Amino acid sequence: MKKLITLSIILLAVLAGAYYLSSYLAPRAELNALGEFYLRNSYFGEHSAGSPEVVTAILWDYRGLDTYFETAVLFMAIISAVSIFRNIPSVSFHPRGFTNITKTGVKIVGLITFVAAATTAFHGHITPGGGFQGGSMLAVVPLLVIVGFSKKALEKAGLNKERALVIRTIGLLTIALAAFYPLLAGGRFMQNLSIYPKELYGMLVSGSLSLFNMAEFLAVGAGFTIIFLLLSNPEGGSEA
Amino acid sequence: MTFALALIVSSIAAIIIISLYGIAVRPNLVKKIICLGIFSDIINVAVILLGYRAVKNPLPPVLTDYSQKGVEELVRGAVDPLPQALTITAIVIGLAITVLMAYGAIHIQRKYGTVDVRKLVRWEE
Amino acid sequence: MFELAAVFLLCAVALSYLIVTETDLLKAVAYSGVFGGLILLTLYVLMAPDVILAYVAISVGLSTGLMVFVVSKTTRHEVV
Repeated sequence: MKKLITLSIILLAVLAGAYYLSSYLAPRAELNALGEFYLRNSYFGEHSAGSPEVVTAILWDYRGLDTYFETAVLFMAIISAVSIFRNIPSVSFHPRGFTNITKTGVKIVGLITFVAAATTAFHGHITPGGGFQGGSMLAVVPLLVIVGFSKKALEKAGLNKERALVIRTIGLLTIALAAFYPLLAGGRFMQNLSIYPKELYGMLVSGSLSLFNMAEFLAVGAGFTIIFLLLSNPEGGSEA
Repeated sequence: MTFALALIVSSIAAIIIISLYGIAVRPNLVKKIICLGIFSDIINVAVILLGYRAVKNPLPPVLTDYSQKGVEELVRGAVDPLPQALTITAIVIGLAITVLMAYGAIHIQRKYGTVDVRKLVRWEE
Repeated sequence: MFELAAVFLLCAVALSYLIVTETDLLKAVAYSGVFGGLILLTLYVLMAPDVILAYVAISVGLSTGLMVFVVSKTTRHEVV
């Protein structure tokens, strides 16, 4: 009851604050000059990124250096999480898991999630989506398998911590090589068009954008998989 | 429209204050991590709200008609794409940082047997 | 359409108060999943499809699953 009174006081305060603010705020209808530049140039124009998806174009081309170092932050966070767990031995533990109905459901939903994640990442330069989005959707699949079956089932299928680390390293190395390659070809760091082709065999690949998306898909998905493999280790919990 | 915008802004302010209260006052480390997650979520919404445009029928910043006419339509109605591009990396990196903090909490539990900050301060006695 | 975002965020204020005052941490994690859903609807009204695709996996799936694991490895009830 005391909770309800406090909650209604908070909501009333929010409404009163909105009534007070409404005479000062005005919604904005015009666009920034910078935003208009990105919208006009992302597919046509002379500073083109070759992609109809403006957000992905900003992410990996116009502000590509930001994203490159954000990927480095992701690398450091996961490496430090792995190093906290370095001396904890893995215990063999066989939980029974759920019933067959749940397991079949997990199989179907996991397959659909994997396909959706791959589609989101590989079409990231044409439709909304990209490497970060697809990778975080991909990491849902091992979480589903761990909850529905067990950690042992995932490792028996061939996805243990070392393999996930290898997949992640492949993704990060691809990003680094694709970012440094234009320097060798006589361009600038992370340059996109005129080094990489805009179309390949009649398909729109938007230069290096699709390559970056695929590599980031692997790096983010495998990185979060390592985290759930380490967390689902039954050792180290309290008895409560 | 103006009142809706004012209501959104004051709701964002209220959620920021409530989550900061949770981070500062609640004693459990796991509760602090959950409140920090709420805080980063609402900050991302505030950043995206900065890029919103109050035009009739706003569009997402994706080119669907590959011609100059499509570009003009995009410039008329699309929202600002820059805050969205900055927010995507912030969300994913935010999860990675949350993971690091969660592992720290698990490690504290393993070493000291508690995640209550009031007990952790007096632990050496 | 834009007015809907205000309604969603007003519900989010109530949910954030519930999350902060809840002493059962597992319930608080479940509330934060619902909170993520409300933020998702707000982002849809604000025309951000890219952010939604990243957010739907992280907020509703990964973050909630991570916190459930953490609660199971520490203590479930918060002593105020």
